[in-house]
Amino acid sequence: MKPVERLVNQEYQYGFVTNVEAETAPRGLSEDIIRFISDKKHEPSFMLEWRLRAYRQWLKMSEPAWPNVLYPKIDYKDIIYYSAPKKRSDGPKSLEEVDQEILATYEKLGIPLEEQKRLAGVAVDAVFDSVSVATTFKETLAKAGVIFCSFSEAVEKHPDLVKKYLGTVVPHTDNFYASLNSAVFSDGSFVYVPNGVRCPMELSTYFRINAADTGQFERTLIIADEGAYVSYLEGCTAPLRDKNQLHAAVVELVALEGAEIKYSTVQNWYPGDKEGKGGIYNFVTKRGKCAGASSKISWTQVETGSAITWKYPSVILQGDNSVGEFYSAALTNNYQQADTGTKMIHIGKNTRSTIISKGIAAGHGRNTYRGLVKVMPGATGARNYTQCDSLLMGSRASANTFPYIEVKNRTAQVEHEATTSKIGEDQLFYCMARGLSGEDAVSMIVNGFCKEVFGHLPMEFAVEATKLLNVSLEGSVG
Amino acid sequence: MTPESCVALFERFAGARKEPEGLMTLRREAIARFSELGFPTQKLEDWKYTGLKPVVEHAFELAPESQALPAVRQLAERVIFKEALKSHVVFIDGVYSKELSTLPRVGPGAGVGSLWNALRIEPERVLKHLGRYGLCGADAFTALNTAFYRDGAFIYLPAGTSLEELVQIVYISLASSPGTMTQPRTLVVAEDESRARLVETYVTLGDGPSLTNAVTEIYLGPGAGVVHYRVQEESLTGYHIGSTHVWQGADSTFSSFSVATGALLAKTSTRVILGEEHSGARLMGLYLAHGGQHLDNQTFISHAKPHTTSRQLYKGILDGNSTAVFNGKIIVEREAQKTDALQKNKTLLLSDRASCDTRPQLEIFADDVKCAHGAAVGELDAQALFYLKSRGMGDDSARGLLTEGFAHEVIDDILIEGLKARVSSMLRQKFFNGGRARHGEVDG
Repeated sequence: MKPVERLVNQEYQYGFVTNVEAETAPRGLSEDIIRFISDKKHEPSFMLEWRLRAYRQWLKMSEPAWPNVLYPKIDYKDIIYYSAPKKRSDGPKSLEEVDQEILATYEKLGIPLEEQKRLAGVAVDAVFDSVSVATTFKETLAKAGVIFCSFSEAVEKHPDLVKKYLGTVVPHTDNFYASLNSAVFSDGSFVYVPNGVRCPMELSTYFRINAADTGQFERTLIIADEGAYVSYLEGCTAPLRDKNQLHAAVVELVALEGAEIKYSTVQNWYPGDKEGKGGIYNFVTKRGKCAGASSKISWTQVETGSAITWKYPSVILQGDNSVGEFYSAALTNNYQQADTGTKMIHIGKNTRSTIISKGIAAGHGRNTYRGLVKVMPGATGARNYTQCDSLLMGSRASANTFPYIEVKNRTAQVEHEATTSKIGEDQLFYCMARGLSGEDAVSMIVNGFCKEVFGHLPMEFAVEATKLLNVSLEGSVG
Repeated sequence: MTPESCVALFERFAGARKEPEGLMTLRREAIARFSELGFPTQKLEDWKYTGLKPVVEHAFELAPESQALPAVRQLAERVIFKEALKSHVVFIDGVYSKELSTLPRVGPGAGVGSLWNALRIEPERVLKHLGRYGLCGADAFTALNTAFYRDGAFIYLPAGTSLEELVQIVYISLASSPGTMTQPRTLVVAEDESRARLVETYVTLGDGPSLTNAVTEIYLGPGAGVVHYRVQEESLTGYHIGSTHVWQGADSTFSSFSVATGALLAKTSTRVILGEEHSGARLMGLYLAHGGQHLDNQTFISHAKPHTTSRQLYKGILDGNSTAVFNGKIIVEREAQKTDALQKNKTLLLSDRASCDTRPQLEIFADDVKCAHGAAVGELDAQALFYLKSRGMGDDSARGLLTEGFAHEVIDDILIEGLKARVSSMLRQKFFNGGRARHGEVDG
C-alpha cells in the first residue's frame, strides 16, 4: 500500500454508541408531533405558532435538487424528530445531575465538561441527540453579562431576545431544510453578548447524535450587540450506523454595529464506511447578518465528516464598512460528497469579503465548491477576493467549482481564482529525499495546502483539525 | 411565439420544401424535440441570467426569400474584409445569394459554398457530418434551427488541403416589421491535416424586430487546424442566439474568436469537445454592450481524452444599463489525464447602471490535471486614471485609453487586419462617441 493510501484508510474513531435511556417522539411528522415537541419544552405560544407556520410552509416546499450530490430519497415520515436522554426531573440543574453515561461519552470524545479538567478558557454547551445536556462556565460568563445557554433555556428565560432575533437572518420560509428545522428543532445554543463586551472566553458547543433513526435539528442563535466580540466553536460526531441519519441545523448570527463574531466549525459526523454505507446527511443552513456598520462575521470550517454535506455559511453585509470572511477546508474521502461554499451579499457601502476554500477529494469523493458573491447596486466600493483550490488524490475522485458572481455596482472589485491540481510526484520525492516517510510527506503537503484555513481556527481547534485531516485521509491517496 | 406556434409554422415550412427524405426526417425529429423542450426558462442553469420573455412574446414569421436590393449590396460591401474580397459567401435572410458571393478557387475535392446546394448534389457527404456535433437533443435552439434552416455555408476540406485565403461568411438579416426569424446553418468539415481560416459575420439591415438563431458545426480531423472568427453586430432591435459546436480529432487545433456587440439580447455559445488525444482549443471573446443591451456568452469545453489543452480568455466592457453574462464550463472526464485547462473572464463596468453575472465553472473527474480559472469584475483603476490625468490628459481621453488598453489584450490576438481595425473602431464608436452614435449599424 502506498504511503498516501495508508494515511487515508484510518477508521472513524467516534463511532461508538452510548446506552442511555431516551425519550423519543413517535416516528414521522405532523402538527401533533410539533405540538408534542413544543409541549416537551414548555414553550410559550409564540414559539409553537412559529413552528407551525414553518411546518405549513415546509409542506408546500420540495427538496432542492440542484446540489451536486447523489443520494436516495429521504423518507421524512420515517424519521424520529425528537429524542432526548431521559431526565430525572426537569433537566439537569448541575453537572452532578447529568447522566454519567453521557458525561463518559463526552469524556471519550475528548470534550471536557467538568470544568476543572478543561483547557482554560472554553465554555462548553453539549448537545446530545436533540437536547442540550450541560453548559459549563455559566457563572463566569454571567459576570461579564454574556448569556450562553441552551436554546430551550433561552426561550424560557429570555423570550424577548429570542422573539426579537429568531428567524431574522434565516426566516422560517428560507429553504426546505431550514423550514423543516424551524418546525421541529429541539435545542441548540443561544448566545447574547451585550453592548461593548468582549466575551472573556471561547464558547463551544459539542453536538452528538446518539440514538438511531433520529434526525438532529438544532438551532443556534448568536447575537453580538454593539461593539461586542465573541468567538464560538462547534464540533460534531455520531456513532457508526448502516443507516443514513439526517442532520438539518440552522445557525443564525447577528452582529450589530462594530460587533465581531467568529464562528468555527470542526465537522466530523460519521462519514459512512468505505463502501459509502451509512453516514450523516449534513444539510445545514448557516447565515450571519452584519446588521450594523463596521461589524464583522468570520466563518471558519473544517469539514471532514458526513456522508453528504450541503452547507453554505453566508454573510449578509448590510452595514456600511462591514466585513465577511469564509475560510473552509473540506475533505471528501471514500464515497463522501460535499457541496459546500458560501454566499457573500454586499448591500452596504465599502463592504469587504474574503473567501478561501480548500477542497480535497480522495477515493471516490465528490467535492464541490459553490459560492455566490453578489454586489447590490448600493454597495459602492465593495471588494471581494475569492480563492478556491482543489486537491485531487486518486483517479476516482472529482472536484468541481461553481462560483456565481453577480455585480450590480461598477465600483465593486470582485476577483475569483481557482486551481485544481494533485500532489506532485516531485513534491513527494523532495520531502522523502529529505528523510520524511511517505505518509508524513503527504500529510505535510495536505496540511500546507490547508494552512490558510487552519490559521484562522482557535489554537486547540487547529491542532484537532490537523489531526482530523490526517485521520480522515488515511489510506486514500495513491 | 410558443412551441405550438413554431410547430404550426414548421408544417407550413415543411409543406413547401422539396427535400431528400432523410433530411426531412431529421427536421421532423428536431421539431418534435423542440416542442418537448420548449423555449428555455431561467430555471435552467444555462439560462439563469438570460430571460427570453421579449423573444417568446413576439410572433416572428419566417422571412420571405429576398432579392439583393442595392442597400443589401452596399451593406455586404461594407462588411467584407479586404482579405476576403475574393472569397466570401453571402446569405440574405438565410438564403444563399449567388449575386453577392465570390467563391474562392479551391483545390480538387474541396468546396466552399451553399449547404443547400451541397445537400442536393451530394447528400451523403453532408449528412455524414450535419447534425452530428450540434446535438439538438438537449438544446432547444439547436433543435429549432435544425427544423427550420434553409441554407448556410458549407466548407469541405479534404485531407491535406489548406485554404490560403480567409473565407468570410456573411449572414444578413432584413429586419422588417412585423418581425422575421432566420436560422442559418454552417457546416465546416476539415479532414486530416487540412487548414482554414474563417469569419462568420452577422449583420442586419433595418430596424425592425428580428431573431437570428444560428448554428455552426465544425469537425476537425486528425492534425487539422481551423481558426474561426465570429462577429455579431446585428441591429439593436434584434435578438440573436448563436451556437458553435466543435469536435476535435487527435492533434488538431481549434482557435475561436467571438466578438459580440450587436443585438438587444444575444446569447452566443461555443462548445468544444476535445475528442482525441493531444487536441487543443483556444477560445477568445470580447463583448461590448451599452444602452439596454444584454449579452450572454457561454463556453463549454469537454476534455474527453488525455493530453488535451484549452485556453480561454473572455473580456467584456459594459456601459449604460447594459447587462452581460459569462457562463464558462470546463469538464475534465475521468479518462482525460494530463489535461491542461485555463479559463479567464474579466469584465469592465463603465457605468453605474451596468451589471454583470459571471460563472466560471470547473468539473474535474481526473486527478492528474492542471486546471485554473479566474474571474474579475471592476471599474477602471483609479490610480491609473490619476496617473494619466496628472500628465495632462483629459478625463475622457484617459478613460478611453485605459478602456482600449483593457480590450487590446484580446484584440491583439486577431490576425486579420481588417477585423482588428473594425473591432477597434466599434469599441471607440460604442463607448467614446457619447454612446449615441449609430450603434449596431455598420458603417465601416
